[in-house]
Amino acid sequence: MKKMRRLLAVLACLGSFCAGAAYAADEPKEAPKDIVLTGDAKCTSCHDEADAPGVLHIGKTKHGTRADGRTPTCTDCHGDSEKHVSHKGSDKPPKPDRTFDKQSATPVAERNAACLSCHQTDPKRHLWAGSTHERRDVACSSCHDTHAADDKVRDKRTQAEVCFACHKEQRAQVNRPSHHPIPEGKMSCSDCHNPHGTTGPKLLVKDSTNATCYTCHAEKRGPFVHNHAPVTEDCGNCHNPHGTVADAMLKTRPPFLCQQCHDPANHLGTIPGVAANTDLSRTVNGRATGSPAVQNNGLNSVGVTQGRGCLNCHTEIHGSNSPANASKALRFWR
Amino acid sequence: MHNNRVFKRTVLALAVSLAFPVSSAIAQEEVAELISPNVAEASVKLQHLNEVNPLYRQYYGLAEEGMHGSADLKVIRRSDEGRWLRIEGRDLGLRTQEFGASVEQQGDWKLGVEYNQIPRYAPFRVITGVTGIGHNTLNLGTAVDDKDLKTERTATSLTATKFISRHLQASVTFKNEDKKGERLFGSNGNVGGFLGQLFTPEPIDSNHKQIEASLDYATEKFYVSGGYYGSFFENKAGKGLFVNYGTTGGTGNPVAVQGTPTQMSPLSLAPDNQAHQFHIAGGYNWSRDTRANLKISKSFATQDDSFLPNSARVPYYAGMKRSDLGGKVDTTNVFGSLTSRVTDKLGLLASWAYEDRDDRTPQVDYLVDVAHGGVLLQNNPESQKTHRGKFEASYRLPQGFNLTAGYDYDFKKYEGMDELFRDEITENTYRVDVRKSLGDTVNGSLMFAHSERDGSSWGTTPNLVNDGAHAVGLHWTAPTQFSDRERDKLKLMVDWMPVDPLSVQFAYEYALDDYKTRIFDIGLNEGRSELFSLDASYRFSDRWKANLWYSHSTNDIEQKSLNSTFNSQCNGSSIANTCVPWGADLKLSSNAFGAGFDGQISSKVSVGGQYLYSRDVNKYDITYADAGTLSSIRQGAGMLPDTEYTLNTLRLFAKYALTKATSVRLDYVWDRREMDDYTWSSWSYSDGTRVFVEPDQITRVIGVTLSHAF
Repeated sequence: MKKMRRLLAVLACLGSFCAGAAYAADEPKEAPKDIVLTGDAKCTSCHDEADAPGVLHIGKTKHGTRADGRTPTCTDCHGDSEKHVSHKGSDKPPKPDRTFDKQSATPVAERNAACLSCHQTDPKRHLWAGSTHERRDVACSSCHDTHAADDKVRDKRTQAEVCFACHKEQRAQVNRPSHHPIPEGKMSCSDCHNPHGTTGPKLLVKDSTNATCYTCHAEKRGPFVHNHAPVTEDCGNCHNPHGTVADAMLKTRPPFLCQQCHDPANHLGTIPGVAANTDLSRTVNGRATGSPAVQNNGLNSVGVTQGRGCLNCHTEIHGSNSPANASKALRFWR
Repeated sequence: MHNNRVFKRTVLALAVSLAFPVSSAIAQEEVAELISPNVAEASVKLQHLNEVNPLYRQYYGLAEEGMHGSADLKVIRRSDEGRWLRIEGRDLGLRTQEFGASVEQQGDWKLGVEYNQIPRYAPFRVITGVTGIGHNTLNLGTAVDDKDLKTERTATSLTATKFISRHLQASVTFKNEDKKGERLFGSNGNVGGFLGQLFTPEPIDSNHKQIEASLDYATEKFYVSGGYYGSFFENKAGKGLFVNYGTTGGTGNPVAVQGTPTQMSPLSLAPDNQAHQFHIAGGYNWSRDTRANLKISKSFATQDDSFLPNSARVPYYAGMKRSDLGGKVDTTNVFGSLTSRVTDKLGLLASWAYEDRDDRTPQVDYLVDVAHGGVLLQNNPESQKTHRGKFEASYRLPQGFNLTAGYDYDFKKYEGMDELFRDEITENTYRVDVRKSLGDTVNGSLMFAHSERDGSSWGTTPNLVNDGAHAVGLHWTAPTQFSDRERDKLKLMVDWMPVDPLSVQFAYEYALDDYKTRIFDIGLNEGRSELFSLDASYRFSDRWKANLWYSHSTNDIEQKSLNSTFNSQCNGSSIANTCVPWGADLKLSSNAFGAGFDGQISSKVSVGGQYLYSRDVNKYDITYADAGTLSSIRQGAGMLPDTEYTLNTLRLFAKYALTKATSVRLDYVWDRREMDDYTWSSWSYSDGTRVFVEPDQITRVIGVTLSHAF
């Protein structure tokens, strides 16, 4: 580092010497030039890519597009920061008026106000005020890197990592065997959620859970001749879209899931069992039954537990559009 | 930031530029490169897959072992006038390929197109004699063969936005998505009183078009917007799935026979449907600290796809004269919110969301329910109204603390649903949280919420005693979403940055749902979950950083039911009339661990790696009462093996810059997934189809990527 400083000093002297040949000694000193943004010389005369984080690569972003008259300059976000700029001496200068790092002393609302002064007019951010993230003091800079060309949260392959910084339960769930293709980078959290605020529950992009799911699963919208009440009400009654161990992202595997709602009359309260353990010709007391049930009969332990469980027969569980005069249609068999 | 640095690269550039004019040009070029977004890169990737494994290929789409070639492309150009051109392609040549291109005059207009493929392979292997898979007529052949069940989505989107004036913005998005393939479905095999299950994969061949257009006028003071969203679903696979086999008879396991269609054939397939939504919205900033928002939308959804014609296979009720459902659902949504910072320290929020889902489908007689007393039944349009209200106050305390107290109101009113449910449900939630989020080494939050849910009286009276006509146990269960419930939630999160390069995060979550069921505790009784998580990241230098995390969670569910047989009277007079109460305690225990690093060995060599471990263990603890010699429970029922899923994935890469423009990257993936699950174990369909899940799957992928920047 010392060597570097010496080199810089020598170069600076050389520069001064050569400059002296060209300019009269009493000529006013040339003001530092802007590098990326209009008026950024105030900052870039000291700060550059060697800082952590580097500042110049903001030039690669939309914030660095000078031709767009709306783009800000450093002080629009960080404040005039006069004390910081005019600091003399070798000790650490006071921080700029507004900082955005994790340990920033700038209140979150003030940090966000810097962004919202332009972005509040974006249609997707109209509902930021009052949104869960706003109310929980989440800073824009908690998720966004405004200086980077590749903002991690805006790339669907890396977005989830940013969300998982807070949403730990979902991080574990997406790695379960039944999941949406989030770990594979084919879907992102923002396909279903708008973290900037929405009218729907859980910051879902549409007005309701079902309306959000129908954007990809429109075949479930119906209505059907025979509707299934929990399906019509909320897909989240049965599914956990972040991932589950049970197939089809079901919260619990059938028959347990179905038995949580359905009355136990007839075969609905059947105790689950698997073929490997169950002897269908005998009762629990070892008594042979008069009519031994067949192994994959829909009304016995095995038939409601293995394969698709209850859905082995009730396959039209999202609703049946069969007009047939058949009670099995009513019960989603056909 | 290292704000005290005196000598900077830009300073160096300036000094050099003054001293050496030639060097000046080089330095300016370097700065220009640092601030320019322009990129033109192309990559060619070859990856070798050692083995096809059903779980790994699920969404990666690599369904053949051996070599796979693909290409990536990235072009970004920005002119001095602020015009952007972006072209990006990923995985070109693979099933997961995607492509996007856009042209944009920043702050004025943008046009874009995107293409995306998402494959989905069923995570198992099927060996079956069923033919016609993927089509609407299935037969049972004599030869059995391997079959992959898969679907593939291909979506193309077009986007256009335009600033008509400084404040007025118009945007239109159109998305066309096709989905093709087949997925697991099923059917009862009943032909003549014999049951059994059939393997009847559902054919998927659908198209979904969506269009979204909006006009938005926004200033710093207010905004108004209006828009339209249209969704059009078309099922090209047909209206019904015809299954030309079924179980006609026999003892033991019923065996399906070709040419004897199950009584369930044809199975109905999803009908075409459409939805149109119009919305208007507005917001107003009464002051710098007070804002109000309002959004009203109205949706019109219809489903009038023609029915399968009246036939012996689809017998219409004599009085049913319709040729389609005539489904019509009108939905009104209203959302309003008011936020205000009343003082420097006190902030308030009030919001209200209303939804009226009005199912206006005509009700006609469709069937006679012979199995349940010969009742004449109609279709069941389901309407519901929902109110969600929220009131919240936040108070800023000294030393960066913030205290928030909130109340949430949730009300649902159901109309036209099965009469045994409740008409109204109300849930009240009270919550409080305290958090600290201002510059210090320790920040965090603690939240506690308590909810109480109840509702109006239940519909049809539960069948408690032997009435000689109905099974005892009828209408005993309270469907979960209608049940009384008390819910407690606790969340704690702590961020600790003891020294600059080290960041540690701790999270704990606990939730308890206590359900009061309708009668005899039948149904879901209790749900309990707990999560513990620890994250740490460390930056060794500007070039090297690492992170690791661990989380442990548990999820317990307690539920009860009653084992009985068809039309059981539960009076203990015989095995058929003996009912046995039983309960299940379902436990899920999950452990997950992740670690990663990346760094630069030299200016030419960078490396990185990630390791992920995840293990889920489900336990099913079933207990039942001793019903003596008249117990109807089959021997061995209730003995469910644990199910376990373990994922181990290691990803490593090394990248070497051959020149400034050309680099080569090596990737290695080692992926092991172990699945011990009873779902398909010792199970066969009545048509002989078997489904196999490989219990231990190891996949190795080696990839070489050559990239060049132009």
